Amino acid sequence: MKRPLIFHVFRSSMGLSAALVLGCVGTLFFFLLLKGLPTWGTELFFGDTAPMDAIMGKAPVWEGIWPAFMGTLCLMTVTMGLVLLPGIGCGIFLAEYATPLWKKRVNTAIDLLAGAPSIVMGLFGFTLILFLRRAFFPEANTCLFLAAGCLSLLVTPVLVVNTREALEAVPSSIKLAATSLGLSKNQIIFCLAVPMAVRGIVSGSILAMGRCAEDTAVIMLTGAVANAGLPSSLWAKFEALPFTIYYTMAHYQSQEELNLAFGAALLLLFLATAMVALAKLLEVGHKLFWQGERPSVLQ
Amino acid sequence: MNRLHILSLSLLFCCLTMGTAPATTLKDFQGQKGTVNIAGGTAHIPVMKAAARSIMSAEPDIRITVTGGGSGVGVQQVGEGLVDIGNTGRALKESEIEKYGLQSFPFAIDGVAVAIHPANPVSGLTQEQLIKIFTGEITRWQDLGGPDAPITLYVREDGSGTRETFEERGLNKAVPSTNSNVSNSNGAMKTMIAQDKNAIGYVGIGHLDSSIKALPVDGMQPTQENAQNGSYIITRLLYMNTKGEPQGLVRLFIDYIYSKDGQGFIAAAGYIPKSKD
Repeated sequence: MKRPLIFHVFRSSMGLSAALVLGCVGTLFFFLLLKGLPTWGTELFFGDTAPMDAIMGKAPVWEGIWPAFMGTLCLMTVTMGLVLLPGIGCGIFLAEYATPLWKKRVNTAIDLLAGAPSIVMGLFGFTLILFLRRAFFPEANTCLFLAAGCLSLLVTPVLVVNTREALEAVPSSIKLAATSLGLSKNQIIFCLAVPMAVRGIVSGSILAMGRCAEDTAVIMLTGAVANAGLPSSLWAKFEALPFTIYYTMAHYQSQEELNLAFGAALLLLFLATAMVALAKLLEVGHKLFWQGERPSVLQ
Repeated sequence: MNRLHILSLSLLFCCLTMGTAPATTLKDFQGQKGTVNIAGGTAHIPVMKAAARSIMSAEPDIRITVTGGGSGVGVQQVGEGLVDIGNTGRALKESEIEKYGLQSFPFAIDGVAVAIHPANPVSGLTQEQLIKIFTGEITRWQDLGGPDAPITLYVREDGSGTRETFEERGLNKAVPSTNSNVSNSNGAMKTMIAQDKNAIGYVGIGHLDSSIKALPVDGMQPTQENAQNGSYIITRLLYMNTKGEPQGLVRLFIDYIYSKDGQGFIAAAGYIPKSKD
């Protein structure tokens, strides 16, 4: 049967769209590699500090992005520590336990949270600290913990929605069969549904981590500064890669300083790639473990 | 000149030098620990960073964090007590001093120079011409003896101390045309002017180099010496501000900026050190 012309137009424009996306990502990668790669070296990371001394924390780094890199890792760790349990818990509640009324209420809250721009979270954190200082803790100040707290608010919707959707995708026939075999609701959720949904939950968490690593607006109002050294405690100000990039791009004084920003941007890109790779690896492991089959990526 | 004269003169000299450079050295930080948080004017950052680096290298128990944000942020953050030192590239307003109880410490002089592309043959402007250019009344270089080309205007962002100084002193408070391109730092401004043959903009005198050409205004040459002796008037002071009288480590840090080491950092950043009042 001869297909109508409109079909061909539709198909080729979809193909073009896909090529456009590939082209854009490719150009971005190429541009960053071109600008950033020449700056890569111990100097970019550690300035004129000896790399081993810097890594062991024996000597402060002044001209490199090492403190910002460590700051970003700390920020991601603390944020995930704060958000993983409530986020996944809320997702499980929504998918398995909530009554329709509660579902509606919580989903509205999640949608509202997801719609809030990140700068609003930053402003929230900032005003919270001002309030705390006046009312309860005069010593309270913007810090790593506050930034992580506000970031966790920002990424909660990602985690909740991914967990909920992953659980809802578990076929109801399986649950029904398990019920008929006499399994309790909790057994079904934790022995069947959650393990089957792990892939979605993990990819949600990785997405959330990526968001933590890249967000600038929240942290610039809640504790990230241009120069702080390695993060010393939860209550101290810190450096972070996206803030370093933003800051250097906006205020560079010389070409060398600008190159530092490109180097840092490339590092952030690699960090994101590493996380995607990790997600893929977990997925593969999960499939092998639960389904005993070699997933298609390995074949 | 008799001996007494020489003696009194040298005594006077000693007093003066002691007055200009407080005897604070790195030794005074020995055994100290704690944190000093600094935010505000971006022009201050190189000086603050250099001082922080020198102090923290000598005393690892001291932590000094430095960030920018602009003069407005500096006032607000130090006023709210979020940082210990809030930097501004302008004098505090009466209302700000009253609201927060701030104290100012001017420590450096910075001049703002009008700059164009090095290939542009224009060699000087009058203030009147400058105002006409930036308000959009003169739009072509040939009206100023330059090539047959349109003028591209470059200004700094809102809230920039450099911009405020330039508009107040250089443009006599005239408002620049909305048709101008905005750059966020001296570095970015320099790059933009160096890449645009028809550009005119302004940078801190300390940032002048061969990639751009500085223009005299009304015959005033934009140099550090002229900014210091007052014959170049498009200048401003850089301030550190504290909430109330600075104490402990913050006091030491401020004194250190006024010390000989501090003056070195200020000069290296392209500004002229100012002695403590």
